[in-house]
Amino acid sequence: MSHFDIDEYAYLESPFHSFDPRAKFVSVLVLMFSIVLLNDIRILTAGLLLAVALVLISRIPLLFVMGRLKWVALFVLAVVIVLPFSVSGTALFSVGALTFTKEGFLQALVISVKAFSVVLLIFPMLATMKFVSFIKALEKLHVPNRLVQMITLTYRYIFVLLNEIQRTLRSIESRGYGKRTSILGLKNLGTAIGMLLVRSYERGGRIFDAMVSRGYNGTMETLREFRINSKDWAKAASIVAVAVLLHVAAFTSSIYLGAI
Amino acid sequence: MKNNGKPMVVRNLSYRYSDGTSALEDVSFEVSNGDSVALVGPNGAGKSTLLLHLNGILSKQTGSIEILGMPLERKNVGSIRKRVGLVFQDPEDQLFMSTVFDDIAFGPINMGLPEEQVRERVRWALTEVGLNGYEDRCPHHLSVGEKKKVSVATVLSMGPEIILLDEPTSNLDPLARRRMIEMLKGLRATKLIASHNIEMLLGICDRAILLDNGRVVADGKTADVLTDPELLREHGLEVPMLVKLFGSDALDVIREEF
Ligand SMILES: Nc1ncnc2c1ncn2[C@@H]1O[C@H](COP(=O)(O)OP(=O)(O)O)[C@@H](O)[C@H]1O
Ligand SMILES: [Mg+2]
Repeated sequence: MSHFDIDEYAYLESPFHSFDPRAKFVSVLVLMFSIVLLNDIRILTAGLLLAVALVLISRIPLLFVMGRLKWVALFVLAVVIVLPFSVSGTALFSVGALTFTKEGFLQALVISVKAFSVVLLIFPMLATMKFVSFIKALEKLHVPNRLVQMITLTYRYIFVLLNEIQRTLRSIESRGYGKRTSILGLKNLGTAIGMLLVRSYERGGRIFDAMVSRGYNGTMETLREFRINSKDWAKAASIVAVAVLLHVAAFTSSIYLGAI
Repeated sequence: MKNNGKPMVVRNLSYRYSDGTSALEDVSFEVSNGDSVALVGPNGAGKSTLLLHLNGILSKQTGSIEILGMPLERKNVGSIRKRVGLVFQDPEDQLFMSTVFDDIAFGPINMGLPEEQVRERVRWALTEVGLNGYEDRCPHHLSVGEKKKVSVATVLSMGPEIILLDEPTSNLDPLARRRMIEMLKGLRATKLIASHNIEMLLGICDRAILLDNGRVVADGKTADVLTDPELLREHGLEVPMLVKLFGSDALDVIREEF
């Protein structure tokens, strides 16, 4: 079965791979927020270039990145097609009753650049460590334990669930549910999905039993100390500084050049 | 109730699931310290249901259970769980953390042990099951045999005096099964092993309890209970080739082989 592990390339070596998970998570998150809050397309373009640069620094294979980016592209495409026609403003041209506006086009551009930048930043942030390290980083950052438990269990069982889905689909297929759709076929599919839900529910119960029988009392703790060193501080500080700088640049340009 | 120092005493235990299925009926038995007891029976006999009672996952409806001198009641269940380890049949249920290390450390951490001791116990448990160096592996990338062994390790790390194992060799290929049997034989705790793999049970256990339809239908030396073709067949169990060939001498043959 195919794995879609986000941490497939966690074993590589790069400044991001050696970055302390907590510092990495927090500083890149700050950068993401900073980019999301920008509205100046010129500064945003700089942000996008920065995100690309960070991906390059992280040495995550570009093919892997492109593969995941497909889905974002699909979403962005929808926005780019719809927005210019639905926002009112200066008309650039029109197709039938629809008018393509400059304002709409700019908005679409802003949204796409933000989306791409943030998604790109996920790679240096999450793909450069084992997912487990990410979970531990959250734990050490005192993210509510319930949330950490949810992420842990989701990550652990997503593979089991996918496996079960695959098995179910295979058994449906092997019993002749194929390309042709029919009412009966749909009914079978419904039953199969129902079975899957029941199975997942029952598994949940058994996992809980297994946890309780090993002394689970509501919190899930693990051992693992990260050691944050001066290099980590330096990296985190630079990323946060860049995040701030983007806004300083946006502010100054709005004063001297006037906002767009 | 007097338990004569027996670590496990079950009296007149019955259990009915909420849908009305009667899973255990008037089950009584005792286990002596250090014993390895086989819990045999066809699918649906009530083996898993019984095991789930013995560390308090299911609460008894009628009858009584005494574990390590303590009656199994709400106020004791915490301390009993520390001393009675249950290895579930499906390792996917047993292993819920994201690394082997975290999974094996889960029990000891919940017991409130200091970090150094937790690490020590994880190391020791991995050595016991022969999986040193697996600390950082993810459960979803292990083979079934490895998952089963890690499951056992997650319970060993708690240092239980009693270990309950639900079908420890199911779904294993012959080599993995052999290794699992070797490992189980080496464990010092009092063991209760549920299975319908008669050959394995003959190899590991001194005593066998035969369960069918929620009732104890035989309880005695493995050499007597598990080498009786009539009895086995009558209760839907496979008669191992060795027993067919050698009858009650099969035990000697198996002991030699394992
Ligand atoms: N959660 C449940 N709800 C209802 N009935 C159950 C449940 N679990 C098991 N049973 C039933 O209880 C009986 C004993 O099951 P179980 O203890 O799992 O047997 P074994 O482990 O020996 O195969 C079976 O008839 C089974 O169908
Ligand atoms: Mg069972």
